[in-house]
Amino acid sequence: MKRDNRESEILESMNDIFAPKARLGIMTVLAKEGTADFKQLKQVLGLTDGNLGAHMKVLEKSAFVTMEKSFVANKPRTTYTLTEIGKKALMDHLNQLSYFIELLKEIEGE
Amino acid sequence: MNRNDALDQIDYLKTIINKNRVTAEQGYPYCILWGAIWIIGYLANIWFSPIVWIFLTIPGGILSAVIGIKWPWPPNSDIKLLTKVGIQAAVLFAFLIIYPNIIFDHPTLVLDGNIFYPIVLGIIYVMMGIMIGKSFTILGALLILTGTLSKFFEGPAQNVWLALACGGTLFISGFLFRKAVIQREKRQ
Repeated sequence: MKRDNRESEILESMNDIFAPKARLGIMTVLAKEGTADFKQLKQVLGLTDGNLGAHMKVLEKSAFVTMEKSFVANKPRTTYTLTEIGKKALMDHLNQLSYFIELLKEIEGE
Repeated sequence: MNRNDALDQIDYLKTIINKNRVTAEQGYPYCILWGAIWIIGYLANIWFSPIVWIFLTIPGGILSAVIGIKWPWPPNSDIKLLTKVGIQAAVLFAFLIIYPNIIFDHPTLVLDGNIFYPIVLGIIYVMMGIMIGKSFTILGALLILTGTLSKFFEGPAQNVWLALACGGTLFISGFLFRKAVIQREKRQ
């Protein structure tokens, strides 16, 4: 019972913005790279233009990332940068995931 | 978020990490190139003066730079880190070759250049292996071993040994690394 409570506590405190796993992937790549462009994110995560664009809009609205449009060799380039708010949200979410893993290990150990 | 979502996320993170992991095996084009250069160089050195190395290492260096820029590296590999590791190795290699010449009146180590280079490269690979994976450590150790064993040979026999054992090790490792990279790509 106590463990069930702990599990639901952990799961409830996870950020719902990261529920679609692609968003977690985007944030993880941005956390590692600092800044990444649309093409790079698409390649690394294997997402379609539409899919990635939709996720980026949500992350931008949540102030987790900032977008910058520029031109490189006359070609438009969209780059994204992780904000401090985004970094904190990602770290909190990853911490919750690690607590969840610990809990699963505890259950397996019994 | 429910239990399955969380499990799915953990699995997804694992996949991303594996996809972006820098592996030593990604450097296989260099192993094949320099393995071939060593085989040709050591064998050619039996009949020609050591100047033959200049005609091999300069185009080899240029080709290495071209590979670095033009090679279709997997989009998920950490090219920045690989480039840093490569530059560090090149600087260390140049330093180890130039330093004895500056410090000593006569380039003692370089005089026995036949053995010197595989051992130096072996040491560098062992060090690189610490950062990018144990396969480079094993390759480095093999180069040190085969390079050291060449001390038991003299004259052309030593060149043949270095060509086949050291150059061959590098060349074959290149193909084994290539196979590992292809297998990993298939698994993903």
